[in-house]
Amino acid sequence: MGSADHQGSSDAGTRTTAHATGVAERTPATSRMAGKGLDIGTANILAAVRDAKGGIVVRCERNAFLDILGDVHSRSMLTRLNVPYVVHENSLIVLGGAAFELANVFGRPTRRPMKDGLISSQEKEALPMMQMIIKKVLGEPNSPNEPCFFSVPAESVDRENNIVYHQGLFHGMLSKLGYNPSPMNEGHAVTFAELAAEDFTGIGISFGGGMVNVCVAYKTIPALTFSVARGGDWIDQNAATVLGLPSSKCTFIKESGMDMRAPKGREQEAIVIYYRNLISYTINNIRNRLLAGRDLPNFTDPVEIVCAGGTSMIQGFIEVFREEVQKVKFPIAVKNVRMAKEPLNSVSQGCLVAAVSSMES
Amino acid sequence: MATEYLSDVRNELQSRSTRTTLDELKKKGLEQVRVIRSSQILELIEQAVDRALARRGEAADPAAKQALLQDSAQIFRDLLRTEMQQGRDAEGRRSEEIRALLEQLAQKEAQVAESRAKQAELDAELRVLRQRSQGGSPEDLLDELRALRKEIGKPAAPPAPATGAIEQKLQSLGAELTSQIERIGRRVGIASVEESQADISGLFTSIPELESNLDAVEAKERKGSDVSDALARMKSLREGKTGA
Repeated sequence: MGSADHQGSSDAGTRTTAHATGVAERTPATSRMAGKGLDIGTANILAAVRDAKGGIVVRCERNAFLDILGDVHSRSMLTRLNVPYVVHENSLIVLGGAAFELANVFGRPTRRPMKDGLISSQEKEALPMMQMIIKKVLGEPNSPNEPCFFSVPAESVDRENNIVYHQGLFHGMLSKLGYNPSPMNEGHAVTFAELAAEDFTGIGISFGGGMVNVCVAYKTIPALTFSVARGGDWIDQNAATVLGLPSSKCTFIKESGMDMRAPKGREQEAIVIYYRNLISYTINNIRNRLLAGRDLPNFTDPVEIVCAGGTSMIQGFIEVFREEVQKVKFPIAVKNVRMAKEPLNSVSQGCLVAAVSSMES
Repeated sequence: MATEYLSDVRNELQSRSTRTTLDELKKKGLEQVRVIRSSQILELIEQAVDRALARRGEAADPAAKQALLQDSAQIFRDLLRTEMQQGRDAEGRRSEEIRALLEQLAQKEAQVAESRAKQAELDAELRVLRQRSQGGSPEDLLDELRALRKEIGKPAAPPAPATGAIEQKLQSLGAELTSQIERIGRRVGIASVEESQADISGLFTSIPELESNLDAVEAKERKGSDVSDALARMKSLREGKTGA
């Protein structure tokens, strides 16, 4: 990162020393292979890069931040604790996972730059903070105009959303960071990461925090892409409403090892109800879009469905998904429904595959 | 008992009352009526007077008693006249109300008949659309909707121009159809307009570089799964496509 501009406050105490050459990361830039994949999610931002041996390294950061008072003592404390922060308009803004921990300490909610899968229009600090988080996970480009494929959602079938602005925003941001950016649909990225053995033919579904993205692909070509405006946050909010709890509590219950097939207690049962609703809703939308779509390829062989994304990581998810698929008469034959090898990393790794392939073509 | 005043009351009752048949009463909606005979009324008057006198003491003068009876009869006749007149007026008002309600009923029935006719027309149109859509596709349906919207948007052929209210109605109908077209299009994946790419990279020139300690803080890393198979498969597919 280059030297920072003064933001007004002149603290005689600590000032961050900017490195002249680049970001200090565990994997040095010189030993990394070109091409990067970036998953820009509502809950998490992940970057997949290759090391010198071709192995994959994934860097993850929570897509959140928290502002605290910009006094000398706070800055000194954050520096000592190795908490990432940014100085902005006389405040210190803590980024990523550390923001969640501090938010618990202060009893305040974190600020989220994205909402429902897209950049939040209500959060005025969204742009600069996202730029910092993305820069942290992505690092400096290995070379000027290094290809970087970044995930974008598809248009929703059940809500009006402006994908053009979202896509253009991150294209510009990554260009400014020195990359040659290309957008890639989230569901499509899942097919690239998970369906190599099927010649990249099948259905890839990314269950994110803000949205579910679906792609029906045929030999790497996305034949059908769409999203539904429901995700993990929707489950938390609805379960919280019926239970009279804060949604963060529902998130905690959801992520603390519960099993969808055997919910214990009223809270878990409520969460399972909304999970089933989300799964059924997604499957029915896939079916309807397949029935309504024209110019779809003729799938002569049964296809595989792969589920990825943080929201799909709850125990019992894939079993429930299979149950719901069986209830519906699918227009194309399905041979298997499975979970991605690494549900959280699928999208970023799929983008990486696309980035590397684009260099080799 | 003096009978002169009683015969006056009887005459008054007869002159103020009207004869009617049971059928007539039924036509007016009266299923049941209370009946009292004039002799019963006369008895009541006599009883009322006797009781009033009894309260004053039995040693009332016969002449005074007679005078009292006559006064009472007079008062009763006046009351009867007033009551009958009010009754006739009320009856007249009720008849008017019933006439007005019958007229309203006739109007409503006419409106219902018109609505039924329109409903039948729309049902017929829907049947036609359904028949077409069974063999057709969402695109055909969208084309029809677009054509319908154009039809609505066209200026009216008759010489008389549309009034302000009708024009507004046409515009709002057109706008509603457009939004329906877009909603349906979104559901079936057909966009009504091709979106052009917008270059908003200029937004980032205004975002200043911020002071931070991010250089000194390492991002969490974890090993990802191998993608070499995927890359190899991608390459072979590409070579297979190009025939290389």
